[in-house]
Amino acid sequence: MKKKGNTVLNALGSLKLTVALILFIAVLCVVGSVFPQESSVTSSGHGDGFRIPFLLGPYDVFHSVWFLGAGLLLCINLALCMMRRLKPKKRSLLMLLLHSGVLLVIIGYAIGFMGLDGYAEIPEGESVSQVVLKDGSVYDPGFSIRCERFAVDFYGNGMPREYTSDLSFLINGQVADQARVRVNHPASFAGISFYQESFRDLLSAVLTVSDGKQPATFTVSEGDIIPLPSAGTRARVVKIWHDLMHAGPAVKLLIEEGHGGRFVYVFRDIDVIISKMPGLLEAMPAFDPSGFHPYTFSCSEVKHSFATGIGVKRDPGAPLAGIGGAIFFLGILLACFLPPSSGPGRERAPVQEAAHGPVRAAAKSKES
Amino acid sequence: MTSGTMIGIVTFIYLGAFSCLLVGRLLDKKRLANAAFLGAVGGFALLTAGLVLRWRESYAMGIGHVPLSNFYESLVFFSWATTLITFAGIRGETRNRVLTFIMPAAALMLGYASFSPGIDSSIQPLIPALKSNWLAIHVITCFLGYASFIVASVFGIFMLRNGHTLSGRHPWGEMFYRCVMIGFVFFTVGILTGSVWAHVAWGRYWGWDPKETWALITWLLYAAVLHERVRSGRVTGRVIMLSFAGLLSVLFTYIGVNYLPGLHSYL
Repeated sequence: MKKKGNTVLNALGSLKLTVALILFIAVLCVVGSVFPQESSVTSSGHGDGFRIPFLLGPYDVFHSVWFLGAGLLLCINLALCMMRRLKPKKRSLLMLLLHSGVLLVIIGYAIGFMGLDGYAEIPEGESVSQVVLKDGSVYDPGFSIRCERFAVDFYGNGMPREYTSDLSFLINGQVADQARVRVNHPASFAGISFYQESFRDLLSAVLTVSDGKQPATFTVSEGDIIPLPSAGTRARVVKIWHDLMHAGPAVKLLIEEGHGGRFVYVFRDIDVIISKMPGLLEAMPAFDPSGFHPYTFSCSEVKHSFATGIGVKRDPGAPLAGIGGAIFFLGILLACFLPPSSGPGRERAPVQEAAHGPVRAAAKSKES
Repeated sequence: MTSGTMIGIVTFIYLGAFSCLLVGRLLDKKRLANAAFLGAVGGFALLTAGLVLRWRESYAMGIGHVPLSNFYESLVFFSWATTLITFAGIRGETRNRVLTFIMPAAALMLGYASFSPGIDSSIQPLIPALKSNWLAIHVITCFLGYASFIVASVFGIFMLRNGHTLSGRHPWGEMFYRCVMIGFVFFTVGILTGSVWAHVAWGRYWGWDPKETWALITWLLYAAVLHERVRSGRVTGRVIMLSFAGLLSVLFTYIGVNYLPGLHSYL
């Protein structure tokens, strides 16, 4: 019985298994890079704990049983290899150091799944108190983030030079800290890091609706809904343009009435347009601001602003992975300065793996 | 003379050196081969000057940055690094032998960079994502790693062609191992610096982006090369075949991944 256990241990700690596992993981990586991977499962486990999806398809290779299993087996193989080869020799100790670095990186990466990986889109001048995680759920960091200002700078040739967000962190409505975030220059607050990830143009329009009695003015963004006085009727803001067809700012409304609906384009400069193109409203009834009785729509202004896209992240495993990487680097650098395990004229027997190791290796070399 | 012209000229110097090396080898004219080596050194010096000049040109344009920011510049640097590793690591008769393989490869990279209509060789300012001190060290270490892997493959070819894998005592086996080891160190540093940069720029040090995944595949294949060598106790045919797979993976990591969607689209 004991001998059988030893055989299993020998196999688990063998270099043959190491090479096989490395190649197996490499093949999985090829699959994972060719098929588009679902990102939903890469989110942090906030709220629903630690999740290991049991998917067998090629669309989530890096969280599949195969990948995690092979990684775990490689860790076991590494640990056994390190234990079996532990000798008080320089090279042996160096290999121990080097491979413990690899183990630390893998452990650090695994710890990272307990971190935070979210995103917040914040319009200029507004604040958000919730962060959207990769799986679509929301996370409350315990403070709110306000975007004071977002700016894009350009080079002379029109290429973007810099994206900058000025952020404030608010606890109970009070500014606790402020930070400027740029690409490659994240900020951190309360143990969470903030990254400049993206931005979006925001257009808002000042619309006035008159039904002949009482005009009402609204400031609207795309997607907003304006209630109209007559029951069951409302106007949905479909799109806002800074300049539509070289005719200046315009808003496209969808007037919803019962099951039906019709579009109305509200140009800011409709009077100028009509004076240049008489007969336009007859040809294009949708451009008539009074085309939907009894209402008259007018647009006095279209304003442009930004919404900044901020990555909100915390990775508790990163320091450990960093230490592991540094240890590995140190180990492999030192290994270059030590004499190699074998070389010309100093050839030695193959590493003894199991009882039959050298014999097998010798037989193999004859084949090749 | 502009940097682009200088770099383009080196293509022909390298091709000339390759032709002389080949003829010298076939006709057993040692002096011709040695002259070809001197020509290659001259080409390398001109290429170095071209890279420095391109760097200065970017500063003169007011958008100064290291010439390592797009496909053109990476091809030129790859060519430079491959020649550098050959010159720095190999001496004597073997060096000319290796150069016979390295010169056409280096010339191909330069020629593709300089004369392919699909490659933009103009100096462009850095996009915000690339404006980082990590750019230079990350790109330099990765390409020195790639270059060492290329030289290792040349020794692998020598060993397979001459049947030296059976004895394993030939110095070429030792050179093969050293090149793989040096490449592995450089490439490891390349991945580590890339991870630190990704952590700073994107908030995650590893994200399974195709470039990252293929860098890992390459790293794993060369890790397999090193482990298989320890297992056999010498450089066997299997070790060499694994390193060839590693070189294919290098090529895919460099160029192939651009056909997969990802964040490293600027190469």
